[in-house]
Amino acid sequence: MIDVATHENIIIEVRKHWFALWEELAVVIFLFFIPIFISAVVLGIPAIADTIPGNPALLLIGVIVAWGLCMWIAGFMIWTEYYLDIWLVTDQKLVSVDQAGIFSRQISTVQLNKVQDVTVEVRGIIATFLRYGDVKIQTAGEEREFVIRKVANPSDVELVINRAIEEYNRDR
Amino acid sequence: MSTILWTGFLFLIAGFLGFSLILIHHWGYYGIKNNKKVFAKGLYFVGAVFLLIIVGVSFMLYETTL
Repeated sequence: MIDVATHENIIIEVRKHWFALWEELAVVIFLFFIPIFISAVVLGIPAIADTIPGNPALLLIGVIVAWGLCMWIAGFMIWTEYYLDIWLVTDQKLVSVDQAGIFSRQISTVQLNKVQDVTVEVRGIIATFLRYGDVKIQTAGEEREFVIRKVANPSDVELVINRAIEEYNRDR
Repeated sequence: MSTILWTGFLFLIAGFLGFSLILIHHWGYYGIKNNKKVFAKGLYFVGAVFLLIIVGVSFMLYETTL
């Protein structure tokens, strides 16, 4: 659970760009096709196909779909990690939820008055065209640096954070 | 051959149930928005049960050819 007080307003929820999700899902999609390729080879070589009792095509369909189910589950695991990996910018603080794996979760919080510097880094052709990049925040707190990688529209995120800091400091 | 096949199928169901429990826990406990949660749950279970049925049917049909 993310600790946001009732009097706090969430200004923005920051997630990774959809391309970051699809980069990982592409691996799963690629892995899905491997047994199809192997089955085609097995069925194409009579010397191997004849060693399988019964109708090998039916067996291979079952095995391929079973593998497909494993990839289906893996895909949802990846989506869950993607969805739970989030930054919340409220009018009081910044909350970073780093979902590094399905069983690895780190939540860090920094008050806006502790933020010293916000940096945006966009690297590469794909990142430039799809408009995603890293947003780094230097803080005066124990955790010196917050980084969220492959954020959509990182410059907009930087702008929102800087504006939130200004308003927070003005209200104090 | 049948024993291996159906043991594998049981392991598949057990794995599916185990991972489903993990996913449902994460979706519920870590606060995925309700509309997304319903959509994700629906898609996940419809897809998974559909695939499980295909596996079961193809194994049953395969068994008849033994």
